[in-house]
Amino acid sequence: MKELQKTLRVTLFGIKNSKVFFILMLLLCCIIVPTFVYLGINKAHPMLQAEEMSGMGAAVAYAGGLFAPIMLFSFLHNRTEQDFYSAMPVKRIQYFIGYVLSGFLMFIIPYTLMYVVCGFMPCDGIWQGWLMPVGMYFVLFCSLTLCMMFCTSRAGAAVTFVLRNGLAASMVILPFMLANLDSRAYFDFLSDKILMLTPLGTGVGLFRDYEHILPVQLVIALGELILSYFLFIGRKNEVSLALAFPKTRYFYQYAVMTVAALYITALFMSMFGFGYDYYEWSYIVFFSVVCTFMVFIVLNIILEKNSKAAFHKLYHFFIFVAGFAIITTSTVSLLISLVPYSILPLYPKFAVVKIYNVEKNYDQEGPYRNYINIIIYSNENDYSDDRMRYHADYDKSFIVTDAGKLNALAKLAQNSSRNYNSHHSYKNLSLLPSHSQWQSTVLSFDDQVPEELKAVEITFYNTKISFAEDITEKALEDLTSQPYLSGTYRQSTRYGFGIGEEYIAGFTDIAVK
Amino acid sequence: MIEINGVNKFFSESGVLSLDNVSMTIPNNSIVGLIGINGAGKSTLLRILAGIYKQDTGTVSVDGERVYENNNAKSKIAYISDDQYYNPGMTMRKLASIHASLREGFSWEKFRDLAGRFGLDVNKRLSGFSKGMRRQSDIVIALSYGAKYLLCDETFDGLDPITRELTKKIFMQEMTDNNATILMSSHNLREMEDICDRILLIDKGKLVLSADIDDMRGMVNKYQLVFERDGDNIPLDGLNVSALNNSGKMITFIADGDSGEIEAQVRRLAAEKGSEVIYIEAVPLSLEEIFMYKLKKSDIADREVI
Repeated sequence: MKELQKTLRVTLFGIKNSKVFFILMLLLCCIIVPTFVYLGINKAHPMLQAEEMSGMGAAVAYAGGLFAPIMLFSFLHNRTEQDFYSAMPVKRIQYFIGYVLSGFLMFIIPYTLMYVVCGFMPCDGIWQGWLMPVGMYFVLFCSLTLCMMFCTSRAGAAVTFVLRNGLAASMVILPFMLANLDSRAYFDFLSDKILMLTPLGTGVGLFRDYEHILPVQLVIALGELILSYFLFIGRKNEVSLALAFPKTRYFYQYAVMTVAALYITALFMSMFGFGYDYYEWSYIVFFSVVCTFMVFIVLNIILEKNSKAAFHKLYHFFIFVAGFAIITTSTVSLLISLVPYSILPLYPKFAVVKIYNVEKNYDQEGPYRNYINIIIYSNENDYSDDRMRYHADYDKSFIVTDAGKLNALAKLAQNSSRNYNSHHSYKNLSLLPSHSQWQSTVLSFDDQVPEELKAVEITFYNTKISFAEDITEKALEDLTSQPYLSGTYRQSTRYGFGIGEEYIAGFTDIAVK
Repeated sequence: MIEINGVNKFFSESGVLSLDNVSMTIPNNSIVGLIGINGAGKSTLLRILAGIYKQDTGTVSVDGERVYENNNAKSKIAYISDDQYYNPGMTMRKLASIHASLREGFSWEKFRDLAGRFGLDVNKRLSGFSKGMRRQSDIVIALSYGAKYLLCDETFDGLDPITRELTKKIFMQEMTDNNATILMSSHNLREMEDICDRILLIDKGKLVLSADIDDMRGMVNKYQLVFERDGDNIPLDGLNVSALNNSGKMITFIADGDSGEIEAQVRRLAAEKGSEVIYIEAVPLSLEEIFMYKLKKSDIADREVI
C-alpha cells in the first residue's frame, strides 16, 4: 500500500514537474479547440464538423504524444538530474509506472474535457472522436518513450524515433525510385502499407479511414512500452555515450546510418529528377556515397557527442559504405528485376478498361485528345471500388479478372510508362492513390502521337484482351466522332480526390461485354 | 552501520576499474573522511552508497539492508552531490518541495531553521545564488530529511571560511543530536583533520588506508638524526623507511610505526656499526603529508611528493 502510494505520488510529481505541458494541453483542449469547433459548426454538413474534430483530435494527440515523453523522461538525459532522482528512495519501477501514468493522464484529462466541452463530437461517436486520438497518443507516447530510454540525449532519441518510423519505409523508398515507378508510387505505397504501422502513420491513418490499423499499432505500442520498462530498469546511470546500452552502439549506428542514407539519397535523387522514369547508375552511386558520407559525419556527431568522432574511425565509414552499397545494390537489382508485379502485392485481381475523351487542360492551344484508360485494380480496393461506383456509374461488368488478360494489361501499362518521352503523350503508370493499389495507363492518340505510342496502341489492340466482345474499330470510331466534351482532366488526383463533375461527365465508358 | 564488501565497479565506456575490491565498515554516529586524488573512485563509491550506481560485484548495505533499489535503505541516506541539480527557474523552496514530495520525513521546520542559520532566502531563485550558496542550499535540504546517513561529495568546495565553520558545527550537531553518520569526500585534508573521526584513503579504486584520526597522528613520523660519524653506511633496511636523505652526518627519513621503537632501533643499528646517534627527533606528519606518503607507497605517484 505504501509503495502504491509512493507510485501515485510519483504520478502527481510527474504532472507537477511537467505542468507547462499540462497547462498547454488544457488550454488547447478546453479553450482553443472548442472555440474553433463552435465557430466552425456547420449544421448543414455535420460530417464536416466531425471531420474537423477528428483532425483536431489527431493534431492534439500528435503534439501530446511527441512532447510528453520528452518532458517526462528528459531527466534521463541529464547526469545531475539523473543522480538526483536516483538518490531518492523511489524504485525505478515506481518512477516508470508513475511517469507513464502521468503521461497518460496529462493527455486523457484535457482531451476528455475537450470531448465533453465539444458536445461529445456528435457525428464521430466515441470511437473516432475519443478512442482513436487516445490510441494515437498512446502509440506515439510509447514509441518515443522507448527512444528516450534507449538514448542518453534528446537528439539521439529523435534520431531513434526517425529510425523507428523509417526503418521499413526507407528500405522501400530507394528501390521504388530506382525501379522506374511513378514518384507517387512509393509514397502511396508507404502510406498504405508500411507507414500505417509506424507511430507517425497513426495520424495519416485517422484521415484515411485506417482505423483498423490502430489495434495493431496499439499492440506494437504495448510491446514497446514493456520493452521501455525493461530498458529503464536495466539502464546504467553512469553511461555518458549516446546510448544507454553501449554494447548495442555500433549495430545501432549502422542501422541509423543506413536508414538516414537511404532517405537522404532518395531525397537528393528526387531533387535532381533521378528515379522518375529513368535512372543512371553512375548518379546513384555518386549520390549514395556523398549522402552516406554526410550522414556518417552528422550522425557520429549526434550519437557520439563528439564532433571529431567520425574522423577518429574513418574505417567505420568505409565498412559502412561497402555494406550499404552491397545491400542497396543487391536489393535494388533484385527488385528491379521483379518490379512491378512480383515484389509487392500489386498483382491485380481485376481491371477496368475505359475509353474516354477529355479536354487537355494545361495547354489550351494543344490538340484535344482521346484517351484509352486502363485501370488495373489490386486485390484490396474496397474503398476505390466504392469511389468509382459513386463517381462514374461503375459497373462491375467491366471487371476483368482473368489472370492472363490482367497480365497482358499490366505489361501494357508498364510499356506505356517506359515510353514516356513526350509532353504530348499522356502515359503514366501510377500506383496506389489513396487506399487502392492500381495501375493505369492512359494512351493518347491524337494528331501528334509519336510512333512508339502508336505501337503501344497497336499492341493494345493486338493483345487480344478477349472481353466478351473485343474493342472494335467501330466502337472507337463512334467514340471519337462525338463532339469533344468540355470536361477538364484534373491532375490533382494523387489521393483520389479532386475528380470534378466535369471530369466525371467526360467519362464515356465503352461497354465491353 | 554502512558495510561494503568486495565492491567492484568497472566503467566499460572508459575502460576504467573505478573500484577494485573495496571493503570497509563505517560505524554509526561518526564522521568519516574519504580522501584520494582525482579519479581515485571516491565519487563512484559515494554514488554506489547512495544507490545511484549499481556495483558490478560485492555488497553494499546500510543497517543490514542492500541499498540499490531499496526504498527503505535509501530513505535513511541523504546524498549531497558535487554537481548539484537545479533548474534555473527554481527557488530553494521549490527544490525542497521536490525532495519533500519524493521523500518521507522531510521537516519544513528544520528546513526553515537551517536556511535561516545559513542566511539563505528560500524564495530566491537558485540561478541567483552563488555556487557556495547553492551548496549551502543542498546541505540545508539534505539535513532537513533527518537522514541517518549523510553522504557528502566535496561539500566544502566553494564555501567561504565562515560558512565552512558553520557547516562543520551543524554536522557535529547533527551527529550528536540525531546520531547521524556522515561520510564526506574532500581534497582539503586539513579540513578533514578538524572534523573527521576516521579517514579512508582510496587510491586507484583500492582502499589503501582506513584509520582513526587519533591513531594516525604519530603513526608516521619524519625523523632527523645526527650521527657521530657520516651516516652513509648505517643500514636502515629493517625500518621500512622512505624519503631517505643523507647529508653527511645528518639523515632524514620517514617511517611508519612507534617513534620510540624506531629511535631505539636506529640507536642499536648505529651502535652495531660503531657509531652513535647524538641527536634524534621525530616530527609527526600532518594528515596531508601522511596522505601523500601513503599514496607514494601505494605506487600511485612516481613524482616526489615529500
